[in-house]
Amino acid sequence: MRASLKGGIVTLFVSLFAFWIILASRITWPQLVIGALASLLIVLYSLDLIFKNTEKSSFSWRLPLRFVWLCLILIKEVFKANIVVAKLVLSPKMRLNPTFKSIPQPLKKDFNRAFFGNAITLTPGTLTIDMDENEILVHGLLPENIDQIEKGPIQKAFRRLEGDLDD
Amino acid sequence: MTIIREIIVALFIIGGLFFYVVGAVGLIRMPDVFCRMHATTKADTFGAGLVFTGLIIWQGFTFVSLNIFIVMVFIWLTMPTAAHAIAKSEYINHHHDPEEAGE
Repeated sequence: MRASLKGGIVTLFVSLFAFWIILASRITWPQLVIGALASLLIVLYSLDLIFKNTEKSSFSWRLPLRFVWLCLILIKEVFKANIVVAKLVLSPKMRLNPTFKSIPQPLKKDFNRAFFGNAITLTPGTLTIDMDENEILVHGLLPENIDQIEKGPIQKAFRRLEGDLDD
Repeated sequence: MTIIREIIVALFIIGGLFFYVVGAVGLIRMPDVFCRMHATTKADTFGAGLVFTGLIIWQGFTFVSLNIFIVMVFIWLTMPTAAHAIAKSEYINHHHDPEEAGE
């Protein structure tokens, strides 16, 4: 418990400070001091918010790699699907077949679930409407779009991120 | 060399604008709220992504391009969240029984 508290403080402080430096765009002593003070104040102010995360995960270097891989796959899929939807929108007869469908929830961690919901919404043709422990309610322009989510590479990459599927 | 870079940047920005246009056209042509959400959120996110990528290439690797990258990340985080909020409220308002839409 104590260790996770310390780790949370350090992580939050470092990320806030890095964010400040990027926004400030120059590295001088006054900038660094003000940034450090502001980050420290925010960390103190939000102490009770930081440590809600009880899901324990052992850190390994494979996790960030999988995360980057996931982002690449996501960008590729978004690119492909955007072209499909653009064709659909610009074609004279829009052959839409809007569908609601519940697909089973493949993930266990809250963070990954939220990220997966956003990824579904980012992928054109599908829209996350609601989500709980067991299923995700998805709206699709075409039923094929939903099938793409349900069985496609994005979902596989997410399960790999969670360690459910070996690479 | 700069010519090549400028051409690449121009391609990215034109592509981004194209997807913005697609989003606007979709907003007008689509039949209901959900489909319109598809057109606007997706095309705009992707359009913004392409335009910002073009700007990053144009800037090179500086603090400014890092800032642009952060703006891009936050747009990609917030747009789907906003879309999700709108879609859910529409769903609750007009599809009163959440169970029946499951099939």
